[in-house]
Amino acid sequence: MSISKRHTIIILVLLLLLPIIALVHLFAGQINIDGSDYLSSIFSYDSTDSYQIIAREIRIPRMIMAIIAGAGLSIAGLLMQTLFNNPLAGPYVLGINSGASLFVAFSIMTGIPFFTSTLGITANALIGAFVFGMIILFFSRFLRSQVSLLLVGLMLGSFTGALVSLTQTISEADELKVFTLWALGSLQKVEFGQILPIFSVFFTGIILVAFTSKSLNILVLGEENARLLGVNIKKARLFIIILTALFTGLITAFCGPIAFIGLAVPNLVRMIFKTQSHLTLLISCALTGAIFILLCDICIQLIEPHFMIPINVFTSIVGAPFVVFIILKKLR
Amino acid sequence: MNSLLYLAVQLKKCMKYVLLLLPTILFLSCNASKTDSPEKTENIEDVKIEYAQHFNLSLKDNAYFLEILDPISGKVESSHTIAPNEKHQAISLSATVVGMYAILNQQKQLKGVSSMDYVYDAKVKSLFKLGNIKEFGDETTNSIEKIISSDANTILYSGFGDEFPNQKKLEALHFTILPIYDWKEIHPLGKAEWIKVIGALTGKMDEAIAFFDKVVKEYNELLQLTESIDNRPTCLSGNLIGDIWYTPASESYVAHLMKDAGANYRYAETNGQVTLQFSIEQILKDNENTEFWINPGYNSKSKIDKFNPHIKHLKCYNNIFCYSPNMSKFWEQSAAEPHHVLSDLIHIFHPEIKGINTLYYYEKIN
Repeated sequence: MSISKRHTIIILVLLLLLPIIALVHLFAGQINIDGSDYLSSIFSYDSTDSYQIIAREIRIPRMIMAIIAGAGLSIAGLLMQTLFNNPLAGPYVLGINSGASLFVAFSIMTGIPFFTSTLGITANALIGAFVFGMIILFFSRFLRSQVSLLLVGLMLGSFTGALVSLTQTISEADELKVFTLWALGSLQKVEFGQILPIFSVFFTGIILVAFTSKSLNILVLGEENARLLGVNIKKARLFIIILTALFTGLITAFCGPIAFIGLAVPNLVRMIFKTQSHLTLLISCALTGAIFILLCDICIQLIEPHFMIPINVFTSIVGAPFVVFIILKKLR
Repeated sequence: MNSLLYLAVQLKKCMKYVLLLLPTILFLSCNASKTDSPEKTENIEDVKIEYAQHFNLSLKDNAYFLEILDPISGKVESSHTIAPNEKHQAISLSATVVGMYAILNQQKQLKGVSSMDYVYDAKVKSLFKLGNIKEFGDETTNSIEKIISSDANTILYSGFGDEFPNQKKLEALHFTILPIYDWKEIHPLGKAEWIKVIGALTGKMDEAIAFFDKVVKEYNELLQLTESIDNRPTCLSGNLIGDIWYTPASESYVAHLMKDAGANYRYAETNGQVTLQFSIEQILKDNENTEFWINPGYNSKSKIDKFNPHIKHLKCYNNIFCYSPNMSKFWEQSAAEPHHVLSDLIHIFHPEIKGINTLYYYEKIN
């Protein structure tokens, strides 16, 4: 399925907007960092200059991480919505984020140093997201109604929330602190040196997703039709869950849980594009998600002199009313 | 008289059943622990309070009259008469209060603590093993039934502005409930002076005054060592929680200690007592030349790096000092013994000053 002219124009506009907003994001903080600081921080880095440190170690990784988180979570949301044929599905709503959080909580509370390392947290977030993806996939086979699946997701979220709380009550103060701080979520914990490995994993995911767009297009027609058209349903499902877990786990490990992006952005994109072409939807979701989270983070930085809001709180404030709007629209 | 006492003890043991009658009790009873201020014409003698801002203490006919003051308005929040020979068996949910009982060697008057995880004193630990001291949880998790069925008649808690949970019900059952606002005191010696309240409750006022006077003397002697110092190194405090760096304001207890120890607190120019909040960017910009960092909340660089990976670019990253190697010791003792904290900080900021050779609470993080 080729991309229509109208869609191409919108995608080009988004492609143009993304670097502009990313640049605005770079200059939005409280401290005035000018262009020369950015250039110096990359080409002739002076580790004693606080402006260069802020530019290289905070602003640039924060901007790149915002793009990765926005794009990754939006794509994960789109994958879930197509897989379950449900516009209200998403990694947060269906409990995939909760799975990542639960596994991270368990690993941190063990107090074993490896599990509290970045690698340990990332591995556990990925495994948790995958396991909970498989659980929701298992339940989906027995549920016919879209609402039932959301209820199961909600219950999974509540169940893991209760398990996390229980784990917190019996854990040592130090481990409790580690988990609480991780769960607060942040775009600015990533260091310059971590950007390349994170981006490599993300980029691999993007390439793999591009290959699934055809299967996703056929899945929309229903499982029976998809099977008749030669799609191996079991493999396709597993592959989609693995990709969703990859994006959700990676982002949750480095930024903590970020709500509503995966639910709100794919729906917004569907409303604008009105298409079932998953290549179009995937590209647009990635671009819109990245722009959306960059805008959220710019707002956070503008409000920062007065009070500070975690990214997870801000995306919920913006995302939740939008989801209510979608539900009301569907009911009409 | 003995039979009356026996009757009182038996009644107390049955108090949990009284819960059933609480509505009636609440309606009929008057508040037993709280009292009105003595008439001005009465012959009362004030207990000298030099530094503490949040309580008043006076003495009349061997009974202490204690007024707890609201830390914000300064108005009297509650008043309590502590009769002579009245046994106050206390549940202390504040670690600093446990430390004050230990200093006065009155651990036997303690019947409970919030959690043994935060206790340092060996005698309190052994009384816990014997079953004489129990754990009651913090202000949000304790059980009213467990409190009523205990041997305690006094509850000492940190008072975060709200009443103690079920306060009216407990007061109706003759519990004395005292918020301890030592943590709101700005002057380190003001914090320490709360030992006089514990002295009044335990009947050891003379010992409490003697201890406090000794602390004041030692604190002021240390202060003289830094008063004339011109070279004051810049110091930072606090750490990131999420994306926000919380650090004490200039009129806080920690800022006061840093100033007394001959350091220049980086945010000394700010106003007020409310904790300051900064972004990591602001901290990096403001502290390019800051030499020391105290109280980071962690006791290892690996933990600091994990939650604050950008801070390693600052000069003070090589001079981090924390009290956390023995957190419960610090929380239990430091409020009543601020001279040890001051001595540590002087040694950290001015190792050239002779006479202080070791650190009591603090440790350098390597």
